[in-house]
Amino acid sequence: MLKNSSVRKSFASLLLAAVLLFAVAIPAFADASGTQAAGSEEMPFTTYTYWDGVGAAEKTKVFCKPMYTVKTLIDAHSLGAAAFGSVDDVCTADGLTYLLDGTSSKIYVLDADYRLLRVIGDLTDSAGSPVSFAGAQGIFVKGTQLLVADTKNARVLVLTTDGKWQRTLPLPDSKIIPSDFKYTPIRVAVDSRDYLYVASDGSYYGALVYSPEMEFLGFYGANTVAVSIGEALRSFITDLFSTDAKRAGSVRALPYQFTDFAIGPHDFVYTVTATADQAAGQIKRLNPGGKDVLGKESFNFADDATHLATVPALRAIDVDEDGFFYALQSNAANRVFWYDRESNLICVFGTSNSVQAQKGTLAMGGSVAVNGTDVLVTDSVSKNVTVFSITPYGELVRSTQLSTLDDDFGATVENWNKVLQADVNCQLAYRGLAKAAYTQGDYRAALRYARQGTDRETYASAFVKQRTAFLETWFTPLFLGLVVLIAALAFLLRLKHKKGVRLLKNERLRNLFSCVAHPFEAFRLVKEKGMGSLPAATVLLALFYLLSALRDTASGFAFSHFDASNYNAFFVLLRTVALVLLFVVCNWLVCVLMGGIGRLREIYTVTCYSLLPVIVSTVVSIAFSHLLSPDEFVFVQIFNAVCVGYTFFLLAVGIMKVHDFGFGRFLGTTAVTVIAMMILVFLIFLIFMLGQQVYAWIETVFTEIRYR
Amino acid sequence: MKQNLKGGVSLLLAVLLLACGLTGCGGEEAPLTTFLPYAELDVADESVPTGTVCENARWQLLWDASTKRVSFADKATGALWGQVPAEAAEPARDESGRVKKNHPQMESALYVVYQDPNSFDDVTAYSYTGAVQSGEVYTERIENGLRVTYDFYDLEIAVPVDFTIADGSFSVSVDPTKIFEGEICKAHSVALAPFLCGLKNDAENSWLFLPDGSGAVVRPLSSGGVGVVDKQDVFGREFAYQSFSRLPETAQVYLPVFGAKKGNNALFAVLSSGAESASLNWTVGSDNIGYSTIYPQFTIRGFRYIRRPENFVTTTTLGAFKIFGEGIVTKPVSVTYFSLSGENADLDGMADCYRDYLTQTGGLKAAAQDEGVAAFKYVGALMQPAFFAGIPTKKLFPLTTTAQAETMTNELADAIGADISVTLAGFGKSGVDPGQVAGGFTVAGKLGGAKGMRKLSAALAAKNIPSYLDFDLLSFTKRGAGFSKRSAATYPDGQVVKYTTFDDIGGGTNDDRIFVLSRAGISRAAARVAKRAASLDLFGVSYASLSQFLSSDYTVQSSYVGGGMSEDVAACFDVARTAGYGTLASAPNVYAALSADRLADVPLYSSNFVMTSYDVPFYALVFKGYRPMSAVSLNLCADRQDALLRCVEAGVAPGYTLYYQTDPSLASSDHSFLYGGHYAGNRDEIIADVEGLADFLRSVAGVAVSDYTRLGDTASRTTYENGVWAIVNFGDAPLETEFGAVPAKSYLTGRAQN
Repeated sequence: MLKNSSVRKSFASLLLAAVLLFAVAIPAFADASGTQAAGSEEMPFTTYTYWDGVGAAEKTKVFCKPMYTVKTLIDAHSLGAAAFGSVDDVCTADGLTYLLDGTSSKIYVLDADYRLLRVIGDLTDSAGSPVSFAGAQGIFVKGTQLLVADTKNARVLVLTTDGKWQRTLPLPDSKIIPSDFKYTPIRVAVDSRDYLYVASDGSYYGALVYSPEMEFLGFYGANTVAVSIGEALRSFITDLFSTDAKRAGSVRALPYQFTDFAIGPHDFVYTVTATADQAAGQIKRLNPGGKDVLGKESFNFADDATHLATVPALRAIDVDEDGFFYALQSNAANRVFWYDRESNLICVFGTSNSVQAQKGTLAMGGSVAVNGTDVLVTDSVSKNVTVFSITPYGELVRSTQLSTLDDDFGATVENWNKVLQADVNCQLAYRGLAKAAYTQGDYRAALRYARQGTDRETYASAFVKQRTAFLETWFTPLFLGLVVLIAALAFLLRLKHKKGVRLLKNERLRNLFSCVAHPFEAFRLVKEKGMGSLPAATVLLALFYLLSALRDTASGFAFSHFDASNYNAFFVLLRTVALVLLFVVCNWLVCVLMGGIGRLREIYTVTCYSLLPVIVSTVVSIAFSHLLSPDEFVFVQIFNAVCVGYTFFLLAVGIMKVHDFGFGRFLGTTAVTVIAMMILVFLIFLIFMLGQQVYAWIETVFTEIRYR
Repeated sequence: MKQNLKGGVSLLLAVLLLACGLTGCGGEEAPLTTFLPYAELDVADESVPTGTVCENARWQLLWDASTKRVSFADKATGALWGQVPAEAAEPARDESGRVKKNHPQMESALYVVYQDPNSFDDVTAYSYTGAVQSGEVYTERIENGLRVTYDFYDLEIAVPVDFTIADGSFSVSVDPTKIFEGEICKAHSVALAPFLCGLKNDAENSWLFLPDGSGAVVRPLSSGGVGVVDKQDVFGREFAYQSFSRLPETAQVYLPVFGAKKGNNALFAVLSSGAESASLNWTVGSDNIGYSTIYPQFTIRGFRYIRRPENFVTTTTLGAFKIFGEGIVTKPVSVTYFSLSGENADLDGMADCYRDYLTQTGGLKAAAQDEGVAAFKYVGALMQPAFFAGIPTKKLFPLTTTAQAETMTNELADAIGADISVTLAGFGKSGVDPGQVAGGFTVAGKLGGAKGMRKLSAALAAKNIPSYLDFDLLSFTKRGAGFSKRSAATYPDGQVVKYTTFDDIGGGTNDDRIFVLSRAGISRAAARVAKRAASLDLFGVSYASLSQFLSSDYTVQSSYVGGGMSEDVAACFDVARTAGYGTLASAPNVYAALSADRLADVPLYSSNFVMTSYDVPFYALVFKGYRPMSAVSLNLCADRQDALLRCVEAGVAPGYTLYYQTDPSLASSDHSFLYGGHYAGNRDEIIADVEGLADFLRSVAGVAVSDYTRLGDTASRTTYENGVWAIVNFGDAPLETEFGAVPAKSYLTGRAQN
């Protein structure tokens, strides 16, 4: 007995120590990046990308070899021109660059080397009257046609690229356009079929579309307001009981206008929407029918806002001839996000500096334009344009990724290997190599590369192929082995039954396992005969925790999103052990008051016994995650759901038995138990927050004393 | 029992009494040197008349009592260098014939920066508007010069500025201990003769020289607006200056110099005293002023930068400001100017001038050269988040073991020759991340331990390859190896110096807390390194952090605002050298470059400021032939070919940062060198790089540069004392030269026939 007690004490101490260790270990993530970290030697910004699929986080920041470097800075001085009033927009066509100074009503035309060719300014219309576009904010060039979004004058000017006025497009007279529509065109573009698109500031209807004959056709590509079921219900109920006066005074949620757009290959229209509170779905690729075909409504195209002081806003976009798009993030951080046509992030480059002290920094990015592989970004504060040019490494990544997207794997393996020689952290390279290996039937290599590049889709496909190949080779011996194993088990069971052999001699342990098949009887024995085992229950609880942690960390690659740098088993402890203990304590407290006769140890025992199905399902889940592909896993998921359901059934039976409740009383006490759990959690948080405030108060007093 | 209790209580009482009694004991602290009280302002005023104040064979010091201007006439060249540029000395007239006054900033020989007592903002007072216009300027002849005291009456600040001449130079200096300060505001910085290097905007054949990184030339081009006004701290990051936001990624001012070329003349300035507390400020292209200039500003008072406490009432909108102690910088701050003319009025002339200066004052000597054709920095390990049974922790991830370092060196030496050098960084207990001081003065067991290091040292020594083990003697996060938080430097308010780093992308703080060793601690650690090196059989030691960063320590007044860093760093290198070890400085400031046997990570680039016209290899021009050098890591550069061309231009061996093994889990590491440093991916390119350069580098090993000429903005020619030359074309088009065509983005080398 003494020995037993001592063992229990030791066990309890060990458990307590483990819990304390978890609690103490949380701050161990304090990370010092050290003094040795450095970006590229010659640039004021660090080039990086985001890996996806690394862990639970949507994005994982990874530094990468620079793909863009600063080529030149274009300002009034470098062009030998008078000081710019503003730099509002830039666009490129046929190797020429057009720079809009809306304040001075001038457009600067630059050659391929970014030297000034001519200035378009003094315009006259057909009547010989001067035409000014002071206040214009957008330009676009197609062929010999130059279009100006003349914002302040509420019109679009159609000019020739050598600076001759052709026509003016005011707000069209159309029934489609509401009477209170305020026309302030900010961006303009023309597609390959000569359809004209005009974005108007404040218009949530979308862009105005004109036919090649310049006839107004309607609105195009409006954003929509995402409404949750709760919001819709609330709105419906509010409307039911609202008066006219209230309705007039209510605020309607309107969709955001898109702030920039660009015409991509095949006349897809890429739009970007800058919002203060939206960190997803900022970019859309609209088909000619105005439908978003990018399918990235919940994807954040900008920086991960959780690490930024302000929510990043993408304000401008341009697309190159291969459908690779460049989005400019411009408020807290002026950076260019470079995506391929399937929205894979290639890299992020550029940085902010409030005074744009260095080339390659931006005080406030305005618009972006692509000229071949050069990327031009305007700075609305410093009134200049930074030209970023692609590095040899960037060119290699670009061309190889293009081949990969085109499923042209001829030279990609060699090129991706060259990429990896220059940058071992290139996820695109691993994914490209995985796809190439899969296509070439080298599934082993595909698995390796897909794992390195966290490409679960390719991994799953290669896994199935590899498993099929394995089974084709080993099916006969495996099948025969299985038959032999089953036969042996059957024989042993028969023998056991015949000789009356009992594998488990301990009555309490036998009762534990019988609770799965005979829960009413097993839990009755726990209550009436004291057949519950506290150590066994604790072992089950520990197993529940360990297996839960193991499922996070050791599941098959296609199912696991484990990231050591972000994983903390303490949270698993909270959602397993702490949750069970909370339920046990609350149930005991509630049932004591409501006539329950169960003792704390009995509640604890039956609760832990009830976990048995979940424990088994976790083991099965972990094992099959290494044998099945995600498509085949649905059977395991059904099994898991059944086990979870059975666990709740066992818990219900156990609680009813130990408290001697009927089903109705069980439901009532369980509901109250859940409320008690919430109150207890609330109290714990309250105490924690109070502690924090006291600490902050002491810290403030200490700071005050120190500085006086 | 009772007796025992009584005894115990008595003993405790005795100990307490003794402790109380000893509380007031200890060495008597030296009184803090402060500014002189303004209430006791007593300035000798001779009212020196207009004319020559003093002269020697080379210089004439002139004073204009009516305009209160000082100028220096160079008898040898006829050049006149004044606090107001010679072109602006006479009043100009505008188109309508009215006299145009010079900008007050240009008319001022002194700027004083003080803290506004209400807003806590820094405010600049100009001597012209603050003292000259109100007639509060006093003059006094001093030995070889003139002392002008500018009395900012409204601010209750009086600053005496000494203008002196010597045989080959003239100087402008301020002794902070002679400054008077009242109760109104706290003066903390002075800028000396801001427009002495002033150039008229758009002037022909004129440029400013900024020692930014490798060096940069700035043409004084009109901007059509306010121009560019900015500054850069001399000697880079100051660890006791905790910034509260991520700082821009700029190159560093390694050399405390600047200059200006004006036609056939040039003025070259050396911050001869107080450079550790200085910044170089510039105003370029301002239409209001009409002139562009570079000038030094010295911080003369210790401070701590703090976040504004919550509910602290000021009128400032800033989230952080400086709080000052009473203690000041006790050493005079001084700038020495050298006049250059003719062929010397160029970059190589400035480099020669600075080298001569260092030879005379810093003990720079031409050293025996084993310059080598490449330098390799092997990174040992880093700390990586990990978990043990679900418990988050950190573990040392080995990137390169000592055995792997040997393998890499053998392979590279076999391919490119053994005239290379090796630096081993991050081989301590915490790898390249801060941990114990100097990585615990040991080699981590996972990397091979002391035994592995001895084996590696022996293998490298057998091949005559110099190798250096790097020790971080500045920062630490953990106690141990004889150092604790008590060994850390302190702020003026007595708090321990600790800084946090910032996330490169988000800009938020990392949750780290890094302590900085006190100056006494640095000396102690250096002595310990020298002892430890013996047991590791090291050839040499490297002090990368000590070479490139500053740290203030307010426990001793001599080390306020980075003071005494030069001497303390030199002492650390001397300890190692005296013990018989080679020394290597990485990306070194001038004081470390003078103290070390070998220089690594020599800059090839400037910060690429918007006003920079082109980069120049000034750093290399100064030290080439005097110290073996290698460049920054080419494999981490965006454009490797461009970096290679810059190595040719500067005549320095390329550097490479390498590690042997990696793991996908390292991808998200905060160490950005990881992407490009994997040995297997770099080996072939390194061999190709070095094979192309080796002959040229061997031909100029240990040879000083005799001439450096720009051939336009995108090309240059460097000629060495042995006649070898290299023409480098950075441009996109071929370049025709007297020696033949140089292809675009390529170079041509040769040797003069005579």
